[in-house]
Amino acid sequence: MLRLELEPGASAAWPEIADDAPLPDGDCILSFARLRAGGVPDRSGSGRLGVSLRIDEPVEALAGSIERLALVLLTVPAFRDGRVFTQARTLRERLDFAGEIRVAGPVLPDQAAFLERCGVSSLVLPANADEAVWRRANARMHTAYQPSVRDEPAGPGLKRRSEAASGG
Amino acid sequence: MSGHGLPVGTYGYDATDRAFLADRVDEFRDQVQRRLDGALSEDEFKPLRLMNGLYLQLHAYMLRVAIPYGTLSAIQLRGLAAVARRHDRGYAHFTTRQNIQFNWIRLEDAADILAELAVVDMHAIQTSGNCIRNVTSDEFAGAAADELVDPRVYAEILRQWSTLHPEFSFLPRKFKFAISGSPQDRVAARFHDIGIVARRDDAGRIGFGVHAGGGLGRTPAIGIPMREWLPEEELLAYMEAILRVYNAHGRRDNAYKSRIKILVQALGAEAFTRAVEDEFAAMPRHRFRLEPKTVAAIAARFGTPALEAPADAAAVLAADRAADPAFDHWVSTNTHPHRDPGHICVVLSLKPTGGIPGDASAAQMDAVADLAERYSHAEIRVSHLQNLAFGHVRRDRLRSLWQELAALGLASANAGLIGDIVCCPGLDYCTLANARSIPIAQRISDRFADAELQRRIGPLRINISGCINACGHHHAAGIGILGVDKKGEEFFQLTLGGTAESDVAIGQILGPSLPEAEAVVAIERLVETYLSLRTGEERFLDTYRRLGNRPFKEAVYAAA
Ligand code: SF4
Repeated sequence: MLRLELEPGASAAWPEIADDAPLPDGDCILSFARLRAGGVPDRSGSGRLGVSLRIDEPVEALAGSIERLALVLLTVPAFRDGRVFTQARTLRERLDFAGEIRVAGPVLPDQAAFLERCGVSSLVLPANADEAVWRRANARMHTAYQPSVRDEPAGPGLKRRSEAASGG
Repeated sequence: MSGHGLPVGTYGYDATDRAFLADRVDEFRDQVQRRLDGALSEDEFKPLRLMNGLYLQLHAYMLRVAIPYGTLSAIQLRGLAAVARRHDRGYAHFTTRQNIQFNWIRLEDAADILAELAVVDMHAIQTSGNCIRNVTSDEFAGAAADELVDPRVYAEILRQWSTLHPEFSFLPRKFKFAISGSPQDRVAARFHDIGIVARRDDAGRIGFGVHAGGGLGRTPAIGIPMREWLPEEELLAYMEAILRVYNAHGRRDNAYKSRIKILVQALGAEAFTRAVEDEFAAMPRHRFRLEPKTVAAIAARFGTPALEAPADAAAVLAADRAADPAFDHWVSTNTHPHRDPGHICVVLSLKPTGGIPGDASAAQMDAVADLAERYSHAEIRVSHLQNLAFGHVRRDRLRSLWQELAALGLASANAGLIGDIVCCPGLDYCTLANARSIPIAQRISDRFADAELQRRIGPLRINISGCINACGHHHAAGIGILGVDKKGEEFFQLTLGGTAESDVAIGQILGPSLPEAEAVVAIERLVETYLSLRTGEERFLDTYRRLGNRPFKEAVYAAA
């Protein structure tokens, strides 16, 4: 699995666990439905927990459990579906989520910088992706005109430097 | 002139703004290359080219260039004329959204054109696609006597804020803003996804009235009031809240139901407003606060005209008018009062008899740029009614400007009259069209060529759209004309009683649609009926409101 890190330290691949499978040792991702039905399982000592959300599942519903989650995986059904940007931003700005936000699905290289500025930490790239194209696209723009969750230094006016992903 | 080297009436780019545009042109060049290489499918390329204003039309690509809040400098207008000459067929077309379109573009040239535009600080960013589009404003902004706040600084703030917005670049559908600073609505604020009216409180502080959920298209809707008074510093936070609710909840399964107006209707005005207010209350508003210093920094990039006129400027104009009835007529239709008594605002009609509404030749554009430099501080405005305007013309020089405009074919004395037709490109260019809107516009214009007749009819707007997408804003006119397809033939449906002004109303369908020739006759009958039934100087709209559609319907259909 090829991943593009949008912020340093985004973690490695985590297995997604089927709703009827037992929890393995180590980091893993559960579905939103399972989490919602069974609550956040106690994982003390056996690994961190992530949750996977579909585009139409409300991130606000994670409010009560967000502190015990280390990763949220958002899956985009189509690159045109811009709800993922609001999901990520809501996680960061309304739920104050400090863990990793990972996005999977058919996003375009040209969307990487937008996702980054909405608080996404890493992207799961399509299988045949040319990583260089993604890095180039993500490093393209050096200026942005609106605040983002990255709180880039601002001014003059609305301008801020939009820092490209550090790579690696 | 500005005195600071800044363009009058519009935001002057700095080095960072220019670097941003250069990055953007590079990005587009790369995207075109990836498309030509096959790395991008047409499906994937489409939203990217649309975000750079490039449409695939019937015969060629069309490039739509943004004219933010409808203001441009003489240098920029010459830049557009050069593109028209080099890459089009010597013409350009001004649209109802204060943009300009080139209809004969090759994909291979598109990145070069964007680079040429960038030289004059222009771009095509977000002139199409499901994103926040060009912010429109009043063509008399910063000049009109009735204005309370110059809306262009805020239009520029909204333009910058919405440019490559990380969260709102893939919305359910396109999103349109209009902003006015006058209590007299000249921007059709309530027919926009968000319509903003800038105002002042008793202490002189600036705030905004906000409407949302308006629009034309196949389901015309008048925007609902969201805030009577939104303080300046909360402008961006509140816009974020509205857009976030729309982005999260707007429909994405059906393009016809995906505009914000449908969400407002589905939730109801109250629930929609509550959702926005909840979002607004919960968001980190400090991050989005529009600080006075931010407003000041952007305002400081606008050039301001030094308005100096001789003490007798107004007297000279009065004498000129008395001496020349043709000039006097033109002044009464094609000017608007300026806040300075020595100056006046002027409409340059792009509606010559029998012409194509909104079209201008490269030669006309160059000539207008020259006139703007000599008469109006090098500033040109584009109106949402597909005309051009000069903001700051000295009254004592108006007659000489009029003579020069007449020589260019830009002095039709018809602003706001029946000859001032608004019309979309229609089936001559547009892939979505049902009917040709340009020829019927030309025919109507010919029928009412008589200037005296036009004056007798008085204010009457005719707007024409070639299909239900309503780019010609047909619902917003006293007489609206909509092209429909009837078993493969071009027919036209008439609507009456619409207006986008302060007494906003949606035009209502008169009856069955008609073939072109009959539709033109029907317009004549409507006008005759109005003239015979009006009392005194009553406007068409008022006669219609007083009598309803019955006499008009009878006049059109009884004889048929
Ligand atoms: S109204 Fe229809 S025909 Fe006219 S420009 Fe818009 S989409 Fe094309």
